[in-house]
Amino acid sequence: MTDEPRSLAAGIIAAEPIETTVDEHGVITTDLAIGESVPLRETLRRHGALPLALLTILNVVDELDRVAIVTLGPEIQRSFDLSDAALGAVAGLGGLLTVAASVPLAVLADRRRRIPLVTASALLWAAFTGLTGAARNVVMLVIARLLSGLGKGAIEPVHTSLLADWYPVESRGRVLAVHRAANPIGAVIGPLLAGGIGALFGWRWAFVAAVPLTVIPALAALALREPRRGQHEEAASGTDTTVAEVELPKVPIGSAVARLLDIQSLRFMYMGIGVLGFAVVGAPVIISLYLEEVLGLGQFGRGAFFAVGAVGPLIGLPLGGMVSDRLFRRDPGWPLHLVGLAIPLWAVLLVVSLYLPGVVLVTIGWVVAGAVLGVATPAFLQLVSVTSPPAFRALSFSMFGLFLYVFGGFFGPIIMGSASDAWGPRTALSLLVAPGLLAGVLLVRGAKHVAGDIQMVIDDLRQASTARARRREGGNLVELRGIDFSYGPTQVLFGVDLDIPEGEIVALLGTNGAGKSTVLRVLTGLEHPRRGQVRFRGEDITYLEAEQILGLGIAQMPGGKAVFPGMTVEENLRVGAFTYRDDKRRVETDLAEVYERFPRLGERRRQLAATLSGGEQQMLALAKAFLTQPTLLCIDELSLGLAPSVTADLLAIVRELHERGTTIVVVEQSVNVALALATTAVFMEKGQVRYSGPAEDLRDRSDLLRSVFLQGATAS
Amino acid sequence: MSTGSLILGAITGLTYAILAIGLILIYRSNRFVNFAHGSLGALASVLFAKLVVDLGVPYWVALVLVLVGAGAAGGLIEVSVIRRLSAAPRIVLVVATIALAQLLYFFSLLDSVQPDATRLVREGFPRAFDVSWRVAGVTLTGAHLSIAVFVPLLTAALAAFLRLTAWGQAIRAAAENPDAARLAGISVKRTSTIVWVLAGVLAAATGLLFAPLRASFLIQTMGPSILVRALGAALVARMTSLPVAFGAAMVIGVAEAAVFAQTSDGGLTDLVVFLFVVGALVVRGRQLGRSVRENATAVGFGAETEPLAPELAASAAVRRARGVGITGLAVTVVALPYLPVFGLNTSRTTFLLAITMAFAIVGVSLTILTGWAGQVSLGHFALVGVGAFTVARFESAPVPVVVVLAGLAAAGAAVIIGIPALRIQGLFLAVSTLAFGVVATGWVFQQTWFVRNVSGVFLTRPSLLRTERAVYFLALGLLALAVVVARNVRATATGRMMIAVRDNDAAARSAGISATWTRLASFAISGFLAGTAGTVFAYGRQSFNATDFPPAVSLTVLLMVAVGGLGSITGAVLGAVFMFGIPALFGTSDLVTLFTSSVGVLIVLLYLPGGLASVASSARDAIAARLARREQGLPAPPRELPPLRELWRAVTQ
Repeated sequence: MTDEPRSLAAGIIAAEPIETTVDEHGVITTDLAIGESVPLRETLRRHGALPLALLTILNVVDELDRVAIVTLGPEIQRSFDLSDAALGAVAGLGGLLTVAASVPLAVLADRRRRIPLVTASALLWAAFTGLTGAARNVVMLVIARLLSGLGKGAIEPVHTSLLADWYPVESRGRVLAVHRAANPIGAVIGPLLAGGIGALFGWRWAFVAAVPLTVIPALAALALREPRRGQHEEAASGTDTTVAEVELPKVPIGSAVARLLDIQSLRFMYMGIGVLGFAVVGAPVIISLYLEEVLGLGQFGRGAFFAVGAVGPLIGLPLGGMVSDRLFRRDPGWPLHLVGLAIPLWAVLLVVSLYLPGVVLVTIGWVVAGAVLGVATPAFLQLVSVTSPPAFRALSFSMFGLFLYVFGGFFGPIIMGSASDAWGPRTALSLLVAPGLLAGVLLVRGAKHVAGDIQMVIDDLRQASTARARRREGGNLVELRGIDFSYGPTQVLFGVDLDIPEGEIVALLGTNGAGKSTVLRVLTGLEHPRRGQVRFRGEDITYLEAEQILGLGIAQMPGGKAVFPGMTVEENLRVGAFTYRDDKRRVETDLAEVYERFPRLGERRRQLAATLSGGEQQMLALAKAFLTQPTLLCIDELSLGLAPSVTADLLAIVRELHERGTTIVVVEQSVNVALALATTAVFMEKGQVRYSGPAEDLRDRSDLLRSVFLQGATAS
Repeated sequence: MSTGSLILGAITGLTYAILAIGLILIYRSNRFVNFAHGSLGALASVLFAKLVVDLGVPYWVALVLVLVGAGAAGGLIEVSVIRRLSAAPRIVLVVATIALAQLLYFFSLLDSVQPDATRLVREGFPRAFDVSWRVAGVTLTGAHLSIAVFVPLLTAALAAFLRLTAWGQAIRAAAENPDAARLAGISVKRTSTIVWVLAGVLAAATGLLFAPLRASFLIQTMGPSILVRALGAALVARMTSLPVAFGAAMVIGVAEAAVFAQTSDGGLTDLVVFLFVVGALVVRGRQLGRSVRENATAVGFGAETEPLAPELAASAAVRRARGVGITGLAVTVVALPYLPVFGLNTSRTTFLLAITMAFAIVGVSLTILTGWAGQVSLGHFALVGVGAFTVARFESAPVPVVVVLAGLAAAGAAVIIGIPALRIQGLFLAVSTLAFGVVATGWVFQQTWFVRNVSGVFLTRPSLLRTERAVYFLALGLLALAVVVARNVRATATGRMMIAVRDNDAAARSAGISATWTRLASFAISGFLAGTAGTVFAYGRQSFNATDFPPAVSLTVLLMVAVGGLGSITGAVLGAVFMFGIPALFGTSDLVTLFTSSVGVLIVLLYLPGGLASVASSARDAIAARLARREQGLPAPPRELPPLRELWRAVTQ
C-alpha cells in the first residue's frame, strides 16, 4: 500500500538534510531571491492592507467569543443551571470541533477558492454565536457552541495559507504576527467588552453583539481577490507561470499527509509541536488551580490575571515578526533556531515565575514568559509557510493544530492533572520544563533541513513550469523523470527516465527483475516513487492514486494477475466498467460490444474467471482495459505463458486499439513480440534504462539483447 | 432431545451465524480476524440500553442512532487504525483489533455509559416486540423471534448487496485482487471503509440481538467463548462462504443444545465446540490450507531487532559498558523487592512483580512460537493454567521436579492441540488454541481427573517459597532460564528451521525440513516454558480455580508480545513490564489501564512498528556508537546548537 505507516521517530533518526549551496560568506542560500528589507508599511502599500486587516478583525472577533464564554460563565451557568464541569464541557466542545474541523476545512481550502470559504465559515460562526445568546435550553446552547466552533476551524488553515499567498516571503513573519496578535488583543479587551455588555444588557446581548462584528468583515472579504497559490515563491525564484493543459484530480488527503511528513524540517516541527502540546494544552487549567490554591485568587482575580497575561504575547508577537523576517533573510533555518531557543526559555520562565513571591511578581513572570512564546510564534508560522508545498499549505497548518491538541492535548491534561493531584500544582507545572526542552531540541535539529526543503518547493514549482512549457511545444504524452523506487529497503529503480510520445507503441524490454513492471506500477499510480516525477500532459501525477490516474485515461493490464478469479466473467466486466457504473445503458451496450468482439467471453459469461484458460484470462483482462477507453494503455506481459497463436490474436486486438488512437506501452519478455509491435523501444537492466530509441535500432544491439534472448529461450 | 430444545439450539446457532458473518466480511476484505467485532456490538447494546431505559428515547429512534453510530465507529476504526496498518503483517492487525476491543470494552464499562442496572433488570433489555409463545415445551420470547427473523434477513441482504450491486462487486473485486481493482478505478481504501462501516452496523445488530437472550446482562457475553463458536463456523466456511458459515453455525448451536439437554453440563458444550473446531481442521484441513496459501499475505512478520553491529561489539569500551549494563541490570532486579520506593518492598507489590516476571516468561515462550515459528496462540494462558494445576497435583514433590512436571504437562497439552492445526500452513492454530482456552476454563480445569478439587485448589507453599520475595526470585530464576533456552533455540538449527518454515513453508520443505514437526516442536518448547510460568502463578496465588485462567488473558498476552516487538526476547520482557509492571507500580486506575492495554498498545503499533524492543535497540546502538567513537579518538558529531552570537547579531543589525 502506498501510505504505509511512517514512523516519525525512525525517520528523524535517519534524516539527512537535502544538499544546499553555501555562498562565499558561509551563508546557506536557496534559489529564493529575497530582496532588501522592506518596511511592513511598504509591503502593505504594495500588496494591499485590506486582506490582512479583514482577516485580523475576524480573528479578533473569534477570540472575543471564546473569552466571552469564560467571562460570562457564571451568568450562563445561572441561566441554564449548569455545574462548573458542565460549563467547562460546553466551552471545550466548541474548541474540540474547531480542531477537528480544521483538517477537512484545510483540505477544502487546498482544493477550492479560499475567500468564499473564509466568508462562509465566518457567517456560520456568527450565526451560531448569535444563537448562543438566543439559546433557550442546554441542547440549543450545546448545538450553538458546537457549530460556532466548526466555523472557527477555518481560521488556522485558511487564513494563514491565504496570508502566505497574499504577502511576499520577506514580510511574512510580520504579516503573520499581526494576524496572530488578534488573539492577545481579544484576550485583553474581551473580558472588558463582554463583561461591560453583559453587565449593562445581560449576557445574551454580548453574544448577539458579536454578530455584526463578524458579518461585516466577512462580507467585506468577498471583495478580495483570491491570490494564486505559491505566487510569491514563484516570483522570488523567477519561475514562469503557465496554465495547465489538464485539470488534475486532487491528491487524496492520505498521500498529501504522507508527502508533508516526508519533508524533514516539517517533520521536526510537527514532532516539536506534538511534544509541546503536552505542556501548553494542560498548563492553563493547572495554572488556574495554582492561582486559586496557592495565591488564593478568586474567579475575578484569575480572569484579571489571564487578561493582563495576554499583554505578554502582545509585546512578543510584533517583535517576533520583525526578528523572524530579519533572521530569515540571513539564513532560512535561523528562525527555527529562535523558536527552539524560545520554547525552553518560555517553560523555564513560566516555572521560575511560579516560585516568585506575591501575585504581582508571578503576573510579571507570566507576562515575560508569554512575550517569549509570542516571539517564537511568527517565526514558526513563517517557516511552515515556506517549507510546505503551496498546494498543501492549508493542510500543513491544520496538522499543527492536530499535533498540538490530539497528541499532547489528550494526554497532557490527564498527566498534568494526576501530577497535580499527587504533588500539587506547582510541582506539576515544573514538569513542563521537560517537554519544553525536548521540543526545543527537536526544533533546533530541524533547522538544518529548512534551506533544502525550501529549495525542494522551488524546484517543484520550476519543474512544473518547464514541463508545461515543453508539453506546449509538442512534448510527450507521459514523461517519467529521475524515478527512484524501493520495495522496503531494496531499491529497484535508479533514476529512470521514460518518454512516451503521443500515439505511439512503446516497448519496454529487459531481463527478469529489471524493474519493467515496477515502472508501469509507478506510472499508473499503484506505487509512489521515493524520488522523481511522473508527468501526464505536462502535469505532475506522481502522487495521484491508481484510481484517479485511471480517470485521466491511463489504464493498465497487469501481467498474469489481471482478473478476479472468484467472480464470473460478467462480474469481472462489470467491475471493469465501474467508473461509469451509473450510466446503466452505456454499461449494457459496452458489455454487448465486448461479447461481440470476444465471442469466447460471451459463451463463458456465467463461468468463474478462475476456470478460464490463460489465453482467455488475458482476453478478459484486455476486454476490461478496453472498457475504460484509455488514452494510454499499459500492458504488462501480454504473451507470458501463452501459445503463439493465442498471442497473435491478442496482438491483433492491441493493434486495433492503437489504430483507434490509443497510445500503448507494452512490457515484454519476448523481444520478438515487442519489436513486431513497437516503434520505440526502451531497454532496462538492473533498474536502469540502458537504451531508449527506435525499435529497429535495438535489434542490432546484441550486447543488450543477448541476456533477454537467453532469458526468453528458457522461459518459452 | 425435545423439539423445543432443538428450536432453541437453532436460534442460538443463528446468533453464532450473524457473528460469523461479521468476521467473514472483514476477513474477506482485509485477511485477518477482527477481534473488536464482538466488543463493538457489546458497546452498541450497552449504549442502546442506556438510551432506551435511562433516557427514554423511543425504541426505533434509539435503534437508528445506535446502528448509525456503530457504522461510523467502524469507519473511524478503519480510517484511523486499519488503513494505517494496511502494509503491516496480519498478526499486527489482529493484535490491533484486540487492543481496540479492550478500548471499546473500557468505554462500555464507563459509569456514564452504563445503563442503570436496577432499572435494566426490572424492565429487561429493550425488545422490538414483546411476545411469549409456548412451542414444543419451550417459551419463545420476542428476543428469540427477532433473531429468527432478522438474522436470515440480514444475511440475505448482505449477500445480495455483495453479489448484485456495483459497490458490492467492487468490494469483492478489491478483496480478490486489490491491484486489478484499483486499475479498474475502484478506490480500495473506500471499499475497505465501506466494509468496516457495514461490519460496524452488523456488529451493533448482533449485539442488540444477543443482549436480550441473557437473563443477567453482561458485557462479556460476546467474549472469547462466543467468538470461538462463530470462528469455528467461519473456519468451516473457509472464511469466505456466507451460506456455509450460516449452516455450520446452526449445526454448532443444535449440537450444543443437544449435549446440554442430555447432560445439563455447560462445560461440556465448550468441549463440543472444541471438538468441532478440531474436527473441522482434521476433515477440511487440506482445503483450508490451500485457500490460505492462495492468499499469501495471511502470515507475515516484522523483522527482528538487529544485533549490535560487529565492529561496535568488538570495541573494548562497548564490551565494558555491556558488562556494566548487564551487571547493573542484574543487581537492580535482585534488589527490586528490597527497595523502599513505590512500595516495592511490600509483599503486595513484590507479589505483583513476581506475576510480572511470570508474564515475561509467557512472553518469551510466545516469542518462540509467534515471533519465530510464525504461529499464533490465542490460548497460551490456558497452558499456563495447565502448569499451575499440575503444581497442585504434585504438591509434595521438590520444587525443581514440580517445575519440570508443570512444563512437561503444558508441553503435552500443546502437542495434543497442535497436531491437527499445525499440519496446515496458516493461522489455524489461533482458532484451535482459542477453543482450547475456552474449553480449559469451561471443562478441563473442572475435571477431577486433572484438578484435585473442582471448586478450586489450595496450595501450601514449600518452606523454600514461604515469602513473596522467594516466589519473586523463583520467577526471576525461571525467566533467566527461559531467556537462556530461547536464545539457544534461536542460535541453533531448530531456530533457523522455525524461521525458514515461517518465511517460506514450501522452500523449507524442499530443503528437507518437516514443516509440521518444526511447528510442533516450537509449540512444545513454547508450551513447556508457559507451563513453568504456571508454577509462579500457583505458588504466588496459592488458591486458584478454573476462572483464574480465563481465555481473555491469552489475548492480553498476545498484545504484550506485540507491544514489546514480535520476535525479540528483550521485547517480550519489555512488553510484560509495560502491560503488567506499570499497573503493579502505579495501580490499576482507569488511566493506567487505558494506557497499558489499549491506547498505549495502539500508539506503539502505529508509531513504533518494531515495538518497544526497537526503541531499546536504537538507544543501545546510539550509546555503543558514541562509546566506540570516543575510544577511537574520533571527533564527536557536530553538536546542533543554535548559532547564538550570530543570531543575536542578525537580530540587532
